[in-house]
Amino acid sequence: MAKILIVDDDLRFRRALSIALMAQGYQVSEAANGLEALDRMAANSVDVVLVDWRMPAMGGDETCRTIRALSQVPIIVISALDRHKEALAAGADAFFRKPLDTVALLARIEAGLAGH
Amino acid sequence: MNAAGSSASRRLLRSLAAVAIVGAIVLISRRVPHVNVTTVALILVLAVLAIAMQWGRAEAITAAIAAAFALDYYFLPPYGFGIEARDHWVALFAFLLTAVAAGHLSARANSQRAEAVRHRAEIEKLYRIADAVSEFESADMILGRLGGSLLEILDVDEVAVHDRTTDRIWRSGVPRGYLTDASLREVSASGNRLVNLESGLAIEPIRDGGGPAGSIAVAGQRVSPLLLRAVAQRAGAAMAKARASEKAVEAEIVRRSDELKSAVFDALAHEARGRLGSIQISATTLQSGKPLDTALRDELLGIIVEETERMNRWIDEAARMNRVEASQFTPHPAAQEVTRLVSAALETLDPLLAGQRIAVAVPESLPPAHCDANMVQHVLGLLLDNALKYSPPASPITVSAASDGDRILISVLDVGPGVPEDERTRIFEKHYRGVHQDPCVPGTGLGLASAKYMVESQGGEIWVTNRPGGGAAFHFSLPAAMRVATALRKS
Repeated sequence: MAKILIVDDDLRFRRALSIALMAQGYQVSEAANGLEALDRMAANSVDVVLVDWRMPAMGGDETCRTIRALSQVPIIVISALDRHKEALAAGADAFFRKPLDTVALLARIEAGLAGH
Repeated sequence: MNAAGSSASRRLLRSLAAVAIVGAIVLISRRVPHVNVTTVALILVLAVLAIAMQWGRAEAITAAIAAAFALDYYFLPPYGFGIEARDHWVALFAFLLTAVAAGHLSARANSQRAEAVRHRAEIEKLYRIADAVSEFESADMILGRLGGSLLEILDVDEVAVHDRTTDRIWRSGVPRGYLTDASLREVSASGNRLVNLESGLAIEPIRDGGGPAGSIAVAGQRVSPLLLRAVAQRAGAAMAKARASEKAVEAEIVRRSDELKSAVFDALAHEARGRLGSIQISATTLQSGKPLDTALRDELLGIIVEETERMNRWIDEAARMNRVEASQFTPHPAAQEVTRLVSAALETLDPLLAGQRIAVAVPESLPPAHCDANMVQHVLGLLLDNALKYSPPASPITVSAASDGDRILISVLDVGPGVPEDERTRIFEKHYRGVHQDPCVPGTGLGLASAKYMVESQGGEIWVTNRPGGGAAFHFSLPAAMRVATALRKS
């Protein structure tokens, strides 16, 4: 069962995405910012990371760069702001803007898991 | 009339004194044995000269006649009166010539000295007026104050100032019927000065770089036309400067309010995307028919409901900001009682939320604040609203006010979590919502930015501290109305 980490300071969005992925059969963990995300990743291995861009404590840019420096895990940035270029520059593999097409996101997660 | 009378009697007294001086010289000379008549004559000439220099021609002529007769009577043979001899005529002529010539020179010197003194006084007056005019910023204040300053400095009965742009007229002093509004307006429109020497009325046009901008009138005493013209020029220059800076301020206000509005809409768009994101994922997940625990299904439904409400509140707030016109971002300050401002702000709060929680502590002796009532009510309402949102239900909130030198300090105190030190400045920035803040508390993060703008545009400051016993204390200052009044009176 693939393990997905959701990093977002917006509690409701995080929960909704978390439940949606659980319904698809993924094992999901949550973090409210980059620092918490690094803690989760140090404790348990993760197959895909979904990262919000604007977060307190450690934002999306720094989070992506830090994770990328440590591992090749697929990173998908999801933000209400248009940060496509910035996200890719920071090492992310894909960018989705909120509100997002859930089916497309699921497809991208699967592609990431398949190593694309 | 009085002045003329006293001058004549002074002249008479001085003439008598001049005769007395001549008499004294003659008496003393007669006591000196074997005195030379030439010596006496020379001493008398010197005395006449001195009198002419000191007092003037009339006194000197009196002294000259007295001296000629005294010399003739006491020193020239045959002693006693009798002016047949040629010497007597020569003496009389010499004395009179001395008196007239010296008196004339002295009169000219005196009048030159008086002219110099008058010039100096005028220049001093002009400096004082320039000083009085340059201290103030708005054209209204410059003209409003100019009247009072001129009245005192020029020592006239009445002064009137007309501003052509606003058609306002300021009058100070004792009203003289002949200084009419119509004549002021006429000079303001034509730009031609109007002078009536008989009534001591002079109206000078004010130009502010372009055409005529207004007029200044003085009545009751004659004022040098040069001085009045210089005053009008000075006022015109100050007005032009003030008008230019007023325009710049207005443009800045429009710019800032536009900026604030576009920030509201950017923030609204961002927020809406986030909320829609949660709603869409929740709805599509529910719709997909994948098996889910009842608890998780309920959680998704709850998220949809809450996110819809949050978005609704956001749209309300954005709509409210949009209704704020640029003109409402321009402060219109006046003296305001703080208690009245506080009770007006309390009325805008949600009564269910506010309940009996808010205590007001405003001392009765507090001087009024010089501020824009609407803006201050908005700021107070916002701070109270924040305090209600961020402190535990039913906990007490206090609004207090105090006088601090020439400013009024208003504080809103709660017993909530307070504001962490690293957020105390950023909290007043646009878009900023505290990171430690409960995400369930609604708010755009623009309120405090607009409060900061409104307080600062009225010459105040806004800041936040934590209370020693816990809780946040928001403070803002406003100028006291007293300070403004005193500054005006000092003119």
